[in-house]
Amino acid sequence: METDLFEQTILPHLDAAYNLARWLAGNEHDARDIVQEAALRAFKFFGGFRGGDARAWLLAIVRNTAFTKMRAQPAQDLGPDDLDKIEDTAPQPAQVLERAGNIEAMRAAIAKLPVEFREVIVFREMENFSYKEIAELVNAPIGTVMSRLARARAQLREIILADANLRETRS
Amino acid sequence: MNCEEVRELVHAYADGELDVARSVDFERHIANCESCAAALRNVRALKPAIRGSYYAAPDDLRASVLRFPSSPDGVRQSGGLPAAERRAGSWLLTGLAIAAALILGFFVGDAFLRRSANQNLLAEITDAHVRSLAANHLADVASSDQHTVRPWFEGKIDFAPPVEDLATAGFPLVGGRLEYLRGRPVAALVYQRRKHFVNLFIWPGDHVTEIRDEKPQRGYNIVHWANDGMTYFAVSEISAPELRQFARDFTTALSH
Repeated sequence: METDLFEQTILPHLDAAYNLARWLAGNEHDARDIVQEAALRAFKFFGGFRGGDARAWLLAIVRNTAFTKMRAQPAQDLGPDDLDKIEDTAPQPAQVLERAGNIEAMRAAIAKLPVEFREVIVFREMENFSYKEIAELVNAPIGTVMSRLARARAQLREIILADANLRETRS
Repeated sequence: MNCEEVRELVHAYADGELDVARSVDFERHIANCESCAAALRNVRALKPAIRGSYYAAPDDLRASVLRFPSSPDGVRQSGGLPAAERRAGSWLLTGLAIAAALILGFFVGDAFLRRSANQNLLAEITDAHVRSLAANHLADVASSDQHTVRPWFEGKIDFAPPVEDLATAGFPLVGGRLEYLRGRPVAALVYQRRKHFVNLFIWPGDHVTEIRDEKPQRGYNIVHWANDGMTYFAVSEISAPELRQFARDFTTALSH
């Protein structure tokens, strides 16, 4: 039965759908709306799903729904997609290591990333997609995915360090 | 490989995207280059907390997504669809048809759904076990001391997994790491048996279940049990009786 098949295929990935929506939208309320709407679209287009990775298929719908809803098509100027001057090879400052282990601090830092960086972090670190799969999901070349990941991680380190310093100054 | 090349590949390496030949070159370089090794550590240090930042779907959302096709009101609330899709009449018809299908399918479908969900979980567990062995990434915190491993999970997951060293029973603790099952972060404890490893996955769960064998997956045995609000899945290449023994030893150690 079509409905059963839909549920079996889609429901196991509801956490992934919500997590992506939550990170793209930035709050629970909009994330719920996005998931509801994406599920509706997924149901509508389910006839067009011909096997393959259901999670990637659903997340592509969630991503489109989110960007449409937020009217926040990638617009920021992220600068050239190269890796120069990104690699910080200095030993990790103690605050970064300590706070990088703290989920609330990490969530606050990820939330501050530009959305293009945030989504590759979600796809790579939380969903374990390969570079190739991510490239298809965000519709960008693999090289761009790699450089966005590199820059996202460099920015995360900087944000965590800045947040830690700010907290120390205040206390 | 020189430093420049290594820096360009450090993310690909940390993400398991390098082919074997280049991985070997990469490892050879960082073994003798402290600053490149630091670059790799910098990337890896962030991974567990990023994984732990996952937002699981609220339970009521799961329920409402399931219910949406039979509820035209819910459809309208979700908004944002092009006008043509919002025509209540067509939705009502679709809704009624789906509601009928849901009612019919519920009794039949539920059993299938549960069985396939369980099969997915077993496959995921096996994948996680194989990955931990293949990527040589058994532990984020490598320690045989339960008092080191237990606190390591604090702040990384939203529950406190019980950690017991079973060295006296012949299953010394190797360490712990964050793993990712059913879209949620779970605790993984790693134990050694001779030259083999046991991955023990732990997450909160309600149902009490006696120790029982699950269907072996690709030659790996899986044993499952639950008590005290935690669900356990142990997976390993050791024999099923040995793995059951492990489960009993773990449960016994907990109750002492």
